[in-house]
Amino acid sequence: MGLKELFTPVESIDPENAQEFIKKHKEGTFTLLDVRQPYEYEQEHIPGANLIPLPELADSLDQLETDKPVVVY
Amino acid sequence: MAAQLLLGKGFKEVYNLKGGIKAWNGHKAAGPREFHLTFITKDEKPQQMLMLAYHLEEALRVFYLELLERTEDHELVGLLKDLAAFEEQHKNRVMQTCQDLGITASDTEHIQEDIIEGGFDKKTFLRDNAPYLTSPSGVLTVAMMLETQSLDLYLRLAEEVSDNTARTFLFAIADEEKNHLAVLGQLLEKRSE
Repeated sequence: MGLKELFTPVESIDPENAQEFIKKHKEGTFTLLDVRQPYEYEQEHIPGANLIPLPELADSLDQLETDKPVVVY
Repeated sequence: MAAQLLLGKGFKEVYNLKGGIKAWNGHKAAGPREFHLTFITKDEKPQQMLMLAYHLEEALRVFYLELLERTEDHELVGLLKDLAAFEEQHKNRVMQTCQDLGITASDTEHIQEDIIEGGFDKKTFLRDNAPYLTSPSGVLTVAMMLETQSLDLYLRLAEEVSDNTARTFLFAIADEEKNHLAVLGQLLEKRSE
């Protein structure tokens, strides 16, 4: 991660707004990304979330579409 | 950290969920990523996804009707009838979605009733959830759990299949499940008032 990325402001979304976002957007037009470990995903996850554990994320970006909004947790 | 990485790699719109899963108060699914996907070859044709969805919805309808046989409670009977009717509507929407996408249905007669929506085995499910299936709010809570699991299943399938029409179909059915969940949520809320 470069210095520039370190200073990129990341927008946060409240759970309530995220629920609204999911409700309003058709499936397939956005990405829900779960970056926790598989055992955590297994216990509970947001329905439809994509599981890519953080350590694998940098090498797995081709699985995701850059032009779709992403909600990450 | 993940959000920053994505932004740095050209993703246009990235939101960090505040508080993560711990703060999440919406629906939650459980189970591993590959849960019930072992039967998938990824080369499935849209027709096969149609059959799967149709069977899952039909099996859940039959499940509600079976619960109906087990109770005398007037209120519960009414609710279970409504829930079964929802599944009937849902089945019809599955067929409508297929027509819209130009998918032709093959026979929908051979219905596998032992697997209900969300991919649960019916006998085990009934046994494990028996204490919750005796009151309207318990049934609604279980119904929401089943719908959440099937929403998750349809979306995980959508990620796996390579056929574009099959994927579009699965996304459309997932949207149906989302609407259905919203209706169940309203019903549950009404009861708690």
